[in-house]
Amino acid sequence: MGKLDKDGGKSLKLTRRQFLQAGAATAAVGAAGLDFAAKPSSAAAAEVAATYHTTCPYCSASCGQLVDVDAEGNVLDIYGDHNSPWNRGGLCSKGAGSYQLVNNPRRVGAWAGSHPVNNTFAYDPTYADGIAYKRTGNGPWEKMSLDAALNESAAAMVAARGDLAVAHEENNSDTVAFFGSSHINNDQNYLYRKIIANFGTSNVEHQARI
Amino acid sequence: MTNNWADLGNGTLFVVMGSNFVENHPAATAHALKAVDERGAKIIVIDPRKTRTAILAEAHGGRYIRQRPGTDIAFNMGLTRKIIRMMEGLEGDVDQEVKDNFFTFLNQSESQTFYNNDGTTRSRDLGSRYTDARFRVNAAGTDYVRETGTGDTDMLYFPEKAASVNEPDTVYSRLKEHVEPYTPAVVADICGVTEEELDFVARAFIDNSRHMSSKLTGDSVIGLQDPRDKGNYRATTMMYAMGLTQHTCGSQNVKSFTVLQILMGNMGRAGGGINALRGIHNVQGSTDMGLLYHLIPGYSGNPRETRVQNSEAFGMYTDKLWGQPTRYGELPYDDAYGVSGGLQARGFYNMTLKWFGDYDLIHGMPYGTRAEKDAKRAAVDAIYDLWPKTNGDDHILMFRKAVAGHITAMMVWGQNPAVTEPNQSMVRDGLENLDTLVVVDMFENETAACKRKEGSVTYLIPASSYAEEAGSVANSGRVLQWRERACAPKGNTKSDLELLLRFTYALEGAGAFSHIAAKWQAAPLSWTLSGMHPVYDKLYKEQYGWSPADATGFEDLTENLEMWYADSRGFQASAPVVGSEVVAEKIYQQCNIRPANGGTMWLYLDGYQEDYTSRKHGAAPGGAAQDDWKVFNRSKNRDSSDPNGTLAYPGWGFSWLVNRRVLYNNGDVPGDNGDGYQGPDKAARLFVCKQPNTIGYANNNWRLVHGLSDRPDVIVAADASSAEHSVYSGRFPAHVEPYETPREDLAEKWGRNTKGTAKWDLIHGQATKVATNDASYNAVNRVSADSFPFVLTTIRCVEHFQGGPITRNNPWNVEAEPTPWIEINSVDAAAKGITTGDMVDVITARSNSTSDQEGRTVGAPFAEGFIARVGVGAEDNQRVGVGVVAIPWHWGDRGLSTGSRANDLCIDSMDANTTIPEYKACLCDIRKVEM
Repeated sequence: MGKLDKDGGKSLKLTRRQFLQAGAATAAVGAAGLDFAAKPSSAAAAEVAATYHTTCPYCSASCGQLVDVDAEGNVLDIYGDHNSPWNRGGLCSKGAGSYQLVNNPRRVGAWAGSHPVNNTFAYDPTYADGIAYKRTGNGPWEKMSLDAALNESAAAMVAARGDLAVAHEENNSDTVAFFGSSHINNDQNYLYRKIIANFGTSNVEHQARI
Repeated sequence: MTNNWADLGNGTLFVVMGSNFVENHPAATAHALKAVDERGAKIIVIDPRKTRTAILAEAHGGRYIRQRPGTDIAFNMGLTRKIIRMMEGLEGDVDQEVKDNFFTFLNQSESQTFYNNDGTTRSRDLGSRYTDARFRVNAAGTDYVRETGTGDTDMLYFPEKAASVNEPDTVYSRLKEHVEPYTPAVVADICGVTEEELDFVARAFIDNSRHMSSKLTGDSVIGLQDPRDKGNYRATTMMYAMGLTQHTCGSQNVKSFTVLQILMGNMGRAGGGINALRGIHNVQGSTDMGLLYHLIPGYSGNPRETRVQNSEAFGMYTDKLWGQPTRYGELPYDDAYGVSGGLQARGFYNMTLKWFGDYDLIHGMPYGTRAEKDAKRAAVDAIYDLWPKTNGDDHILMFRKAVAGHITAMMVWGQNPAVTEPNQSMVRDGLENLDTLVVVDMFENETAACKRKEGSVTYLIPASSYAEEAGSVANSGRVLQWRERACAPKGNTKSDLELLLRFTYALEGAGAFSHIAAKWQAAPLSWTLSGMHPVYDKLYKEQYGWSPADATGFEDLTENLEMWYADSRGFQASAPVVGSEVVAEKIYQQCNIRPANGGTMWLYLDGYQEDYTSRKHGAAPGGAAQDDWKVFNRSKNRDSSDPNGTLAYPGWGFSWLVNRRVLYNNGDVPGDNGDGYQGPDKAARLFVCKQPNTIGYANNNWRLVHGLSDRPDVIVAADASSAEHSVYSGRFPAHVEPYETPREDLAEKWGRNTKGTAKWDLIHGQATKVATNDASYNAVNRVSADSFPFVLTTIRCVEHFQGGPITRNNPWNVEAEPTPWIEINSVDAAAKGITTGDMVDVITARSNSTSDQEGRTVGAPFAEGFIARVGVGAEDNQRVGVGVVAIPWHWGDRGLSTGSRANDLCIDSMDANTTIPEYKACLCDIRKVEM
């Protein structure tokens, strides 16, 4: 299978990539049974305070995953759930990298210290009740409290919608747009859809359309 | 998926068109190879590109067949024609018993019991246990020929049935006429495949069908066939993903699968079915929840009927929902007002009251006397008024309306349209022109960072990761699984649930719900409201347990909410949950309790149930032994055993509908919950009936049937049969060319796809609807292969995901696949002087890949083109054929890895039924970038 693989790019570092394939359990196509490269937790057993069940955040095969956390709630590792009938512990190169997604230093607002993209996005204890970032035109991002941002956003959405009772007799504004997501859970999507219906529009779309 | 992931292990033939599951659903590979190892299964991949899946197929004795992009229907209709001819003995050498089984299956009838209007019951022959093959259709009919009734009952309008499918006016015979033009020579011309390849696939289909399985296992052709008989059981599954749907004829492409699978009896069987490999982990769930402009949760369409038009609008709307019973002497929708309405109708009633009103108060109103009925109806009708009526706009149109300044504010929650939408120039103009853009994401994605107009405001609200929040997700096989909250959201981030509730609270503060409050205060409700947030308090805090005004923070919520049961002890217990687990569990319960008890998601019936026989992982409350403990929330079930040996795993999660693991199984799958075809005519449909309405016969299993609204824009050809099929081609799938095609000669003959009877252009942004055969329009707007000689198709890779934020920020993924590339056949590369490693500019009528499209992107250099990967060896064995190039679409201008956006190039023509864009086929040119 390697022959027609994506070789040929100038900047590929093949030796490093081969290392990654071994270490990160890149999609392994095996010969028998549910042969899907599995790797146990990398967390030191003594540090693991609890293990939680979740599912992989990438494709809809929904491979079972286990999350090891320490006593402070730090995620130590995310690895395949050997009990799941969908993957029996295996994960592909995306799923095996879930730990990097959760602990990614480029996440906005998640971590203290210098931020690799923009130091404005570093954790700020003065916004313990939630933070948001705002820019005007193409200006720089500026920090503000979450509630202030939500209040401004809500006021802007209402202004764009107009007065439903007058302008839109059937409670369906066509001057605002909401995009939802297949990346968030059912219960969250249900809540989002309810909010949009309460708000008064059918202008809602998400990735299922594409 | 009609079946599920593990069930793939029961199949003996995998026909894969438009899916590259080895890269995009890698776990599927393990299930398919289980079938290869244990059953000698074969994989056939039919695709314009020799994908890793195609290579896997060949490595395990299967086959790869290359087709031209956008020709799936022609291939499948040619295949259907060949299979019918083989079954009728006109060609090939098919065992007589298999041929007999084929017709026995199509002719199989079944009786069912129906209610008459006077309350008596009677049985009648439905005409078919499985298919509509024996139903009568007129030559130009867009509906079955209907009975006009016998006078003794109100059971009118059943389809008329012929004694045998071989009569000339049956669906089967019409299908035969329809496929007749798809001769091997015609299919070869359209698709670029050989007759030998068609023969090979047809033979494989026949050898791996219900009909062959019956012969080998000795089971009755209509009866139970046991997939555990590994030596003899035969089943074909058809697998597809975006490669099938992202065409102007995407819906009809899928319909062509159903024609084949229904004919071959492979629907509703273990290892069979039609399996749509859905993209994102919860795209099934987000679709179930109706986050689309035409839906509300549970696949009910947006309410359309208004009381301005009709005082009984609520009843008229619920009357179209599934399971709404009619009883003698009552209006059809009488029961929908609250007592014993059918499943979907009752769920909608519950949802209406819980979303817009006060369920306990209104549902508790008496409903006996005429006066009581009138009073309760008036209350329900008043609440129903609050639903937004009719559909919204589709995604492409919404960006066009933003360009025009009509839509001025947009909230984007967990999506990245500045990479994922086609024809980015228009999308970015739309984003730029918004007054307000609110983005919720884990990263500063391309949408948050896009170019904005002066004075506009953009908000970026940081979201937590999936491990930090609880909730259920539905996988491609419709299985709900619970995600546990492993820890609190990191740093300043908040869970989606907390953000949503706080946003809702802010909305009410901004006056967004004043129309709701006004309705509540007016007659007939006349409620007295109190507090600053009466709508939030009633519809959110009361139902989901938290308000931003509460002293307790969201993550500090604790409640004994998780209900458990133990049979041996005969008692229940509850366990405490915290933070987002509390709110997610409350919403899950609101959705999943039985509709009769107030549940809103009829689709998830029995997803929350106290008498189930599975268990959650881990210790039970109080540290008791877990073995006989069960949890009511079935998405938390984690019993990984396979009690029936059929790869169904009924104790792992919960599968809608009612934990059935194979849909449409007609009781034919051992151990699974039985199912039947629930359309008005009780049969799987070869024919797309254009009669979308429920049929007025008295029976409590009827619902709206969705027709397909497309039809090709050109009358085909010479003989009478093909003229008929082209005019009414929506009845059966018919070949159409992509909007931009290198074969204008075929477009003139077969047409392009258009919507409904108005043959209007499929590209958004035109001021008026334009006839697609308008020569003067096309001369300006439709490019030809003269200037754009290549077909461009988009692809994905295992290392990256969709619009990119959740992989292009991860060092491992980026290191494994750092830049976007272009796959080119060596013949084309030589002609263009391109060698592997060169940078290549791709040019379409919309844009190119090496300029920053009029400055529509801020910052980061990204538009450097695509790195060439030129095929090696025999030209027919390379990744792409001559005249086709393929590029991945995951890249953009933000993240650890940036690269040219495929969607600068892709066309925003769209499927006539679903408005999915045609990402898989447009015209382009390529040139080497001189460094």
